[in-house]
Amino acid sequence: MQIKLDAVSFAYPGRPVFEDLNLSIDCRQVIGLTGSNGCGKTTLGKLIMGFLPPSRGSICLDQVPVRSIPLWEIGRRIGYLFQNFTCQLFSSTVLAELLFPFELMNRQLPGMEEKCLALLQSLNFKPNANASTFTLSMGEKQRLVLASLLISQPSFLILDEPTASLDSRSTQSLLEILENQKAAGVGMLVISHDRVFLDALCDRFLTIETGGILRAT
Amino acid sequence: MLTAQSLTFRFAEHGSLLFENLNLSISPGRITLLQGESGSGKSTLCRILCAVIPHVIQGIIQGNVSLDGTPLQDMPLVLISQWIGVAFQNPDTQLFMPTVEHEIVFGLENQALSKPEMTEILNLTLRDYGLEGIRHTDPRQCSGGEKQLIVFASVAAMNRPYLILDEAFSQVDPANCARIREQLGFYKQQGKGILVVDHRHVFDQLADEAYCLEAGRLRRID
Repeated sequence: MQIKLDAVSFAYPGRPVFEDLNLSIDCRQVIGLTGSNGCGKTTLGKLIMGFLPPSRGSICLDQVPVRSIPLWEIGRRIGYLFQNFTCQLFSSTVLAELLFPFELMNRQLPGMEEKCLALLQSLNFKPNANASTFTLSMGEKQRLVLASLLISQPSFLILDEPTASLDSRSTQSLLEILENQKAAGVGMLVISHDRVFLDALCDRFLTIETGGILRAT
Repeated sequence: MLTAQSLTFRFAEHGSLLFENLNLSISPGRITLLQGESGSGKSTLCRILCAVIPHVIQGIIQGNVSLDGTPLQDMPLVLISQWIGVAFQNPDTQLFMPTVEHEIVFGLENQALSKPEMTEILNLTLRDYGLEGIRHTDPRQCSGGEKQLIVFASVAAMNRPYLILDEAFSQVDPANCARIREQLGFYKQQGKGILVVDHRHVFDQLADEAYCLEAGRLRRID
């Protein structure tokens, strides 16, 4: 899969973010994206996902304009971890959260519960599968959201500040999980201020500078 | 002094203990750093220290949490909030107003300050936190790091004697973290008692004491 942004401009009311932005992403790559607060890192992720429409220019997945692809289809191909990932939890228990996308697709796959439990174990997720999602810590919630993305086996991940809520041991554990995903051929756009984490994981680095200019670093 | 003495806590009658016999003091003019794994109970401890638990969120507390000797459970939340400013992990839960400027002024209006006083504090706060360029922006349109800055600036503007900062800077970039370090050092010199929960080790050098919360107990980090 390839993501291509061609001469993209975007502004919030009274606040320009990008002007004629060009970017090409080979979705087998793992890319680290940095930049100061408010420079547009999250906005770039949301543009790629089709959550925000560009005011000018085009954004394509495999040469098909994002605007013409249904959101559910984009979500199937690209897993997106929001900065405020608590808005991505919908179900009352851990297991129900993981099964949620399959319920949406009305798919009853054999062994799905076992697969969910195995994934939780591989992510070193400590709470019980029947635990309430409301009682999880922020770090646990983030890991559950990540699990709910991985269970659908997307080919690309956009992770917005994935280490922000994690202690150092959890950060190391997340790094191992993502390295495994990378080894399995899953590409990523990782938005973070944590340069040590990015250096350990990424093949390519981009920085958004003042004025929305994208620079390879 | 803000003190937790022999604090034992569980969320429900038959639930498991989150802390047992925990002691912690937040002293004026000192910065206390709190670390611990995800799920160890750091946010819960912060909520107990500012009395959100049990005033808003239910839980079973044994032991005593007091502010200068007065148990927090005997104080109304509105009074506690005049002593303790809190910035939570998720800034979206603390943003209410249509612009950054209104957000900062909201707390000051509730203190019934005069307009010239509010204007002075607003301008200083915007300057100290580098928010002049987005003063008329809707906070909901701001980035996660900017939202955290806005929340902290709004809390700091109210000039409370104690600050509880629960991973309040997790999305803030290095340049703004340096700005916050400078401000926290200034607040410490002013005599504020500050509790900082931080995973990123960005504020380690500022701390007068540091603790790790693990298995329901506080371990002092030397």
